[in-house]
Amino acid sequence: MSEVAPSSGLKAVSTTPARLAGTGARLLVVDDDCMNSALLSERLHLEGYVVEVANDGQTALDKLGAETFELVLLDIVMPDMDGYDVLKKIKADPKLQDIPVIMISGLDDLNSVARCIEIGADDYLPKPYKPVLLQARINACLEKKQLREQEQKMYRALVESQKHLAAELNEAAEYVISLLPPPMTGEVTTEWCFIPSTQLGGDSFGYHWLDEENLAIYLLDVCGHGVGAALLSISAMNVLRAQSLANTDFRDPAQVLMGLNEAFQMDRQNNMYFTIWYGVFNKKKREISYARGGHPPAVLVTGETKETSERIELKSPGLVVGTMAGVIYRSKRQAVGKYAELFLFSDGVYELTNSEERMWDYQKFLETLTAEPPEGQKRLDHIVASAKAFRGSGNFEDDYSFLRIVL
Amino acid sequence: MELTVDTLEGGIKCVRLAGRMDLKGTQSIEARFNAETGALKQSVIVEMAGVGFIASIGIRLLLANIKQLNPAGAKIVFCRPQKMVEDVLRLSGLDSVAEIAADEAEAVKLLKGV
Repeated sequence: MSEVAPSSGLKAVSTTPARLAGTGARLLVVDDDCMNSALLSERLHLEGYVVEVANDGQTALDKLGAETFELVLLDIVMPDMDGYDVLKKIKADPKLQDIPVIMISGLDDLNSVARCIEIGADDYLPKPYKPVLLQARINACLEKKQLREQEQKMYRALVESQKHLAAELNEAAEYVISLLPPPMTGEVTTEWCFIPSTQLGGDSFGYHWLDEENLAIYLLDVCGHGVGAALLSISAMNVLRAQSLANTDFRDPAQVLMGLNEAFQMDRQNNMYFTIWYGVFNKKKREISYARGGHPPAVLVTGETKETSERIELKSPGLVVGTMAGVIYRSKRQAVGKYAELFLFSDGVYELTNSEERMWDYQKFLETLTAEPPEGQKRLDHIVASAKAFRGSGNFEDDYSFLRIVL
Repeated sequence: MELTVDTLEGGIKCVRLAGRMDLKGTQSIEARFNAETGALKQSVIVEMAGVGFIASIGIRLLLANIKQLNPAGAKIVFCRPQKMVEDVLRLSGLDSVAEIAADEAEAVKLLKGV
């Protein structure tokens, strides 16, 4: 049912640079008219394509199912299964639907062409074929297919790389969590909550006995969050865990902060700094000595009994760590009563904004520290729930680190 | 964020900041703030009445410029910060390396060392 343009046009077509794009590609010509399909096949073969012919719809589908083709030239008018039906079956088959299809139709048959394009055909070729048009449309379809395949390949590579990156970040996040101390029980009990705002946070904290009497307690917060902040946070925390600052008595908070300040100057740390609260609880004297490097004060709730306890903010002057060399930090001391709860946290626990862009009130936050939790809820869970309730939906904007120690 | 520059009586330079000094806000003024403060090696008043919030990234910008000015014998005086911003400046210890004034007259006095 097709007409083929005279082969005299072949020479002109073979000189067009665009033809090179399709050379070697496997095409399937579907036409019930054996003469036309043979002529078209020969023309395309001479152009450098590998061509298969099917003279009816079912044979075409069988060939498509069994072999790989890069493009189908499909006649619309065929007996039994016409071009529409073949096209529908191609586009309904997940294995075949990406193969571009060029419909072959009469010039006066534009309505049929429009219908084919709606079903999913890529282009159409009016009869009789103009060699330049034939070549241009085949090349355009093949190029489009190649681009789509490249795009899919790149997308798959991107997904793969993201998966890989996510797995590595997970591993790093697990490492950070593994460095955080297990809860302590006995004469001192601890509980904590750590919710990084991104996969890796810039907060870290810890506590460990320096000797039989002195317990070191600290929480630090690197400016910003994410991988860079986490790396600095871990470095500083490992120094504290290993007590590896030269000429530093780790029972003296001011000495520790001065040592950290010299060791972690921001011009050597990719312009990052951190804030820290570092304290040492002496269980014999029942006293906390502490120093602060630009960090929110820890809060001590203490007294002879819980009922008579009061809330004390453990403040002291002190610049953020790593910004200026030679900064002097000073330790302060605070007596600890028989009843004592110590809270350490990062600013992310109270610098919260809700959906109305309203900030949480710091005083209200302090009140939640001593507010009795509802029955059956732990104190720390209640504090976190209060923050979440204020924030509304969504994650915390900053890392959320909270440490509660009963002394 | 917005950054404008004024010259007060006596030729004292005043950089006025307004907006949220969070990551996005700080990045939007960082280059200009550096150029108008630390890079000039001259004492400057930084008026902050229009700043409603400051995050650690904002503190970093302020500190980086204080760090450039102090060795040159120059300084930054922060002027009229809102309560919450002033609390964060003091919490971060910036008041140990720069001064905070309640109004422009006090800021000028502090800048002149009167």
